[in-house]
Amino acid sequence: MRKYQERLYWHIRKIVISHDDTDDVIQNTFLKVWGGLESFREDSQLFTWLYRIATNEALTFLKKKKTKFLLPLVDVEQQLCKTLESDPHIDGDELQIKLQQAILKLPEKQRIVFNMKYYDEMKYEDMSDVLGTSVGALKASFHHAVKKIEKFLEED
Amino acid sequence: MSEKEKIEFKAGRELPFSVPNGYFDNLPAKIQARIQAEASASETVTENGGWAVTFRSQLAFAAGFAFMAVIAYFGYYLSRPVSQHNSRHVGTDYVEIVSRSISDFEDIDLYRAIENRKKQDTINEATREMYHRYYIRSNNCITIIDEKKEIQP
Repeated sequence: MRKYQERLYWHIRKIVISHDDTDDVIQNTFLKVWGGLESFREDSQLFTWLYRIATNEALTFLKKKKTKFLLPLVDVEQQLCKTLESDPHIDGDELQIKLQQAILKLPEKQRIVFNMKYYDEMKYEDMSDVLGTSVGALKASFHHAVKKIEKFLEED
Repeated sequence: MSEKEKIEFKAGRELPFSVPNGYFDNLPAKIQARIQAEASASETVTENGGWAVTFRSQLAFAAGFAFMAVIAYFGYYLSRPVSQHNSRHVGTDYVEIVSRSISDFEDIDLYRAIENRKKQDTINEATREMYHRYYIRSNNCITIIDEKKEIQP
């Protein structure tokens, strides 16, 4: 657990932004891992499997939030942007915050692909295992995400 | 040139996020506590209501089916045609045409209609009487006694 907890924490944090929400999601992730250890196939890499569970848990958390407060998708993104300004555990410089705001403007899938590639420097093959998407589609997603972020940063 | 070398924003790859002091040191204990709580909760459920949990979907299906059956029965009961025999007990509004037009209306028609109605009621009342027949067997003969009983409307 100690070996993977930090990497999983930061992966989830980039999706749900708030520290408290990340704390909930990572606990749920490890509960799922504990409950599903028997079904873990040795042929799939442990870390890929953990990443997949963490990603699903984070996305489920956002969906629940949306349903709970009857929010459309755009409003969830706005809420995440507000969290960037109000969460006590945000302490980056202006450029880093700006980049996060640009990332939050991306569609959910592109956002995850960008985070995994840019921050975690994952291989497309591993990302493909985690997200169940072809390498070609992931490359296209990352390319579109980069273009949108560049445009957002230039405009601002 | 790899993707990593091509893409580099001025913000770099550092995240603007932090965690409370000692968070990662305490996280395994927190998760361990959650896992133990979940395990004991699931044991309690198995001990207290194992069969109910196991057959929850079947029970829900059976309850739904029973509910639909009750609704269907009441629907049928309320919409079924009323038989001729029971018509007097239903309390349907009663309309009798005495005369087709006001010009040829005679008082005597109304009087006859009322009288006919009374007769009809008397006949109906008569059908409410019941006889209990008793058979008394003696040496060579059988005596029959009919006892009239009134049925209260």
